[in-house]
Amino acid sequence: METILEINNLYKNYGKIKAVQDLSLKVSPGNVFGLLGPNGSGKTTTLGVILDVVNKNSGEYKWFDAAPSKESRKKIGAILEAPAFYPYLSAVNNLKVIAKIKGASYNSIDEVLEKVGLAERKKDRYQTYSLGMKQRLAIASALLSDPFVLVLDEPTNGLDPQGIADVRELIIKISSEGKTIILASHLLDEVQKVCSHFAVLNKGKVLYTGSVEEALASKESIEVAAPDIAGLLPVVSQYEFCKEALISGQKIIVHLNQGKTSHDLNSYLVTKGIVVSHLVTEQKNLEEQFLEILSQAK
Amino acid sequence: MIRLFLIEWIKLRNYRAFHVLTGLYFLIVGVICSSGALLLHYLKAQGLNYKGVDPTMLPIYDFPDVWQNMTFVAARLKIFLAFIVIISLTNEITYKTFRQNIIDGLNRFEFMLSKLSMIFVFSLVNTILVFVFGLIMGFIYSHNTSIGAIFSNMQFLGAFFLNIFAFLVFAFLIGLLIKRTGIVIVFLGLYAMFIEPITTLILTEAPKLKGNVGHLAPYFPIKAIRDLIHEPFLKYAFQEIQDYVSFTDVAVVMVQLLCYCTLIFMLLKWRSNH
Repeated sequence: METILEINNLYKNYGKIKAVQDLSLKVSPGNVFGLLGPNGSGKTTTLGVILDVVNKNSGEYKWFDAAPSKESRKKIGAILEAPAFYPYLSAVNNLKVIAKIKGASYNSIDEVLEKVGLAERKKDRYQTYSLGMKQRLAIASALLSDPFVLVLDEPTNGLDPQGIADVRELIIKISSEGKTIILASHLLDEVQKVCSHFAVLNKGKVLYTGSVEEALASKESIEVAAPDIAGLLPVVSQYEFCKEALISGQKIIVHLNQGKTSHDLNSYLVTKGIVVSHLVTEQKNLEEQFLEILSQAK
Repeated sequence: MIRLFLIEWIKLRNYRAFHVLTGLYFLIVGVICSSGALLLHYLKAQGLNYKGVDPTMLPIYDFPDVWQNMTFVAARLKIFLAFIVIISLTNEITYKTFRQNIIDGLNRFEFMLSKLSMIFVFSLVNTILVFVFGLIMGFIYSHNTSIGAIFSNMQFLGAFFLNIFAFLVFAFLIGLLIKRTGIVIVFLGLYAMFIEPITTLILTEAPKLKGNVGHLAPYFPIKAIRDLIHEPFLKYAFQEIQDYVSFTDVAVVMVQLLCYCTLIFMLLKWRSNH
């Protein structure tokens, strides 16, 4: 299996509203892929199309290098928007319905409930569950058939801090087992914390796609200070890997070429006989990065 | 197919409204089908008498007449079963579980088949139930219990099955069109009891219409289904009745069933946001 999911030139309109425009994406095995965008940017519509519950206007998509079918959906564990279960059935019976649909064995029901921490409440009706438990049951249902890929749409939406932490921990645990995860979220730090790759969507268009690490690395800046700030600046500026150096208060903000770190800068300064009093790598967070991408698009 | 029925069965088995409605339905069918003799005794006590023949002498439970009589009466009560079908369908839309079923790997055709399999089993169980009631009442009251008499006119059980099945599929279609449980139930009740009977009455009786469009009346959904089993009781008042199931009536309902299923499938297929 080369790719998990490939979307090419997808379009979807709701009347005059262009929900998705010319969207192309590729998700490779083992990725934790974040679909990032503000509310109404087309994330859920895109997921709806690839899960066959929203009819597309044009474009195509492939799951597991093949045309989509009900069989491919059986290998996907997915939740779209809020968890959807029969409120009058227990967790176990809800999962039995899904196991029958997916052709999975009932034996895995206890196992997935154990994994999400719902084993004790498994006989209670779904309508008695808290929002966090509902969300965890949704993840359990997605795991039921031991799928290749999980598709999660805003999995922490509406949860309290403990619930958010639990769900994120669960996602990280699942991804560490080698499963591919596609995660839609409007929460930047969520994507930053759990994703390996991401795409930024706005108004139905992909503005950026790449790995989280790369996106952050290229935006690293280093703060450096020494007692003689005026003397430090020209030395730093002469460093061959320095892209930019600016004085900001009592510090100098330095941007280095890709692959160079504070360690390289410090070694260089030592060779020039300068001992710094302050050296901090500032990782630009995804939020600034994201806002920058959005503002560039306007 | 068994898998599709099992999916539906797990959904219903632990659903309290399902237990209440089926329980109520079977109770009512049982009571009404078995109370014919009591009714006649009551009428006798009220002094009803026709040229020396008292009502209790009417052979309503005699083999084979019992089949037409009982299926005709039992078919009046199917609205309770329609409630179950409607609730089970509109729940899927309200709770977005239809969509989740598709996401989980059911296709729309399978979803339809799984609901149809439930309707099929309802109709079958119901037919068997009426058959058993008919046997019991027949053995108690019938003057003739020869095998030949018992098993003649079984066609009415077939017609009964089709009657229930077609009506429930019709309810499925209406449920899918309207989607709100309460409105669907009210609409179906109004339609079956007032809207369609009044419309067909106007078509067949209004002087300016009856010559032109009056012949369309038998093709209306409820009337077509009802005509599978004709009213049997008038014969006890010495009137002419249709005491058989006509091929044309069955064919009309079969064709309509096919249309309902096609429409249901198209609705499931083309409406994307349920």
